[in-house]
Amino acid sequence: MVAQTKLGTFLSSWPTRLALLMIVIVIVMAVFAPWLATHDPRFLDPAVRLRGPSAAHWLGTDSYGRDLYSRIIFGSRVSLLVGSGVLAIAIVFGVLFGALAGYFRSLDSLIMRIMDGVMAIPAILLAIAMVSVSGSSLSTVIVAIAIPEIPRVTRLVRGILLSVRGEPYVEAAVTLGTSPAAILVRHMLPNTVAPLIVQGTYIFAAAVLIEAILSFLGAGIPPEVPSWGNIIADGRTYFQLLPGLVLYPGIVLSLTILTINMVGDTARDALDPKLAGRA
Amino acid sequence: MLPVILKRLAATIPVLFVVAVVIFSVLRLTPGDPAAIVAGDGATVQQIEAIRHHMGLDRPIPVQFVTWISDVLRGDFGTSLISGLPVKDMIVDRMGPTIAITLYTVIYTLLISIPVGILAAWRRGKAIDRLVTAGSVLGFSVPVFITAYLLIFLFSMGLGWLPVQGYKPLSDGVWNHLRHLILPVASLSTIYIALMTRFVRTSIIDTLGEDYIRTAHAKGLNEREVLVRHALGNAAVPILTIIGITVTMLIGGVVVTESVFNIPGLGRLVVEAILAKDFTIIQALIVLFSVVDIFVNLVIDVLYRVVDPRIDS
Repeated sequence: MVAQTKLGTFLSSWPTRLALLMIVIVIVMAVFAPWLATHDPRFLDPAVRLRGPSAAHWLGTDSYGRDLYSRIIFGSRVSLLVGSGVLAIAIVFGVLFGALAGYFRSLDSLIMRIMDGVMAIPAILLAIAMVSVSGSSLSTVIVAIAIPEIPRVTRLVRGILLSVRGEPYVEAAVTLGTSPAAILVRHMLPNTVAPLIVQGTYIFAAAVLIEAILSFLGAGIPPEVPSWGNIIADGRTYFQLLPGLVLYPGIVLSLTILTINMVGDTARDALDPKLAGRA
Repeated sequence: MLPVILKRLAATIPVLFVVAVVIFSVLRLTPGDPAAIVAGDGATVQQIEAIRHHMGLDRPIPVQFVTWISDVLRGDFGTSLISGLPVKDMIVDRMGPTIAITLYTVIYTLLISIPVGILAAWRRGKAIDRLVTAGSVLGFSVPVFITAYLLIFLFSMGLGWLPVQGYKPLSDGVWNHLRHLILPVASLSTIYIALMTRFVRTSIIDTLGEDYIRTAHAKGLNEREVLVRHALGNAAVPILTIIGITVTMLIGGVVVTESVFNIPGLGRLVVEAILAKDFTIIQALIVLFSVVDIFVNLVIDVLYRVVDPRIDS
């Protein structure tokens, strides 16, 4: 019943429905890219370089004569891969460290001091440094973006665990002689699920954004791979000649981030009615 | 106040130490060989070994860490691999534009987001509030370089009002200086205005539910006095907190903005260093920016006590 009502609130507003539709579109783009694309995204055709939109090239071509529309379609794959990869790493390590800090008081201050230190380092610069040492690759970019996100998850999980430690059901479990691991997993961690879903959407959006920034700056995905950041980085030199090279991928990128954030906001309001309409 | 400052200063030492360890280990433990990167693609094994020895990378890790820390503490960030100049001098040379952009961005953000946030909180649930809330989600979802290119497209290429890129120091005339910074500051501040407005709104709404606000109304203060004197006064601490939290984001944004607008500041130095694989500069700038973040937060921590005497030392 409760779940139904929540889902009902979740889907009741048309901006959220539009946002979900956009997310579905991006997922469809990524999954069916080879069928949706009209050209090979890496095929160089110098004869048609820097053309505006036409029947053959729906959004025009870039400085190497590659089809912009097909590149944008394939770019969704990189963004979704980076988003999911970063999300997985940040949640796994964040929950692990957060659980250790929130349950075992002796580890708390050590773990949290390390997290404070990581949070003081500008995320983009740390990622840039890691990518420039180990060379650009998809996996390096994912790890580099995930590391600064880990402290945010750790803090969230630790805070929730600390607040439920004194709850009667936890104390009851302790009295019954339940093992610490079972108390943690069965009684305490379920409280973190809803906030993690909300935080997870924001992490996903942030990861898509940072990947684009890193690729734009030349410290991201290898330049030949069509990622939205790389497409924009390629197009910026010719921006004054063909603004579409930057603006089309830019609009798709912005809409994707916007809709993920909107879904995150709606999820937060639905899962925590106290906050609804406030933040 | 002085003992408080000294105590907080002492408390930053462990954080600084953790930052140093994290930066050092992330860069050393990341697979990849700085010596090979510096040597370039065509280098022989002997050349790479010579560079490794020159950079001190062949010494034990703890020795490397201590050497690096003691150099940094003495203000020695090493020599740039691109220019051969001391990294410290290059940083000092490039600081001006970055300080100008960040300063103007913070001022502009506060000038816009505080009144708009108060307005939205006051008219909570009304059309203006919904517009502000929707605008703020949009504002922090559009990447800074997209905002930048949209603004260039409209105001430089379309209307021809402002330069496409470049930077002029203050010594070239106030207007000339500001003219070149209008679009960069507008691009960079979009995300911060969005975040800050949302935050001011939430903080004010929180304080509006407090008893003293009802008292203020009851004693006959008008709406504006209640909002500005009582609500904003008490929302000051959370607002300061968000400034502290967003420093690292602001630094990331500066790197991107300077790159788009071709502004010769520290942010563009980062990008030049990436392209030239100048590892020394990247490492120095991460340390510098992390220290800036820690000290901005220290200053904010001290300001809390000025703004809110209830927070005891």
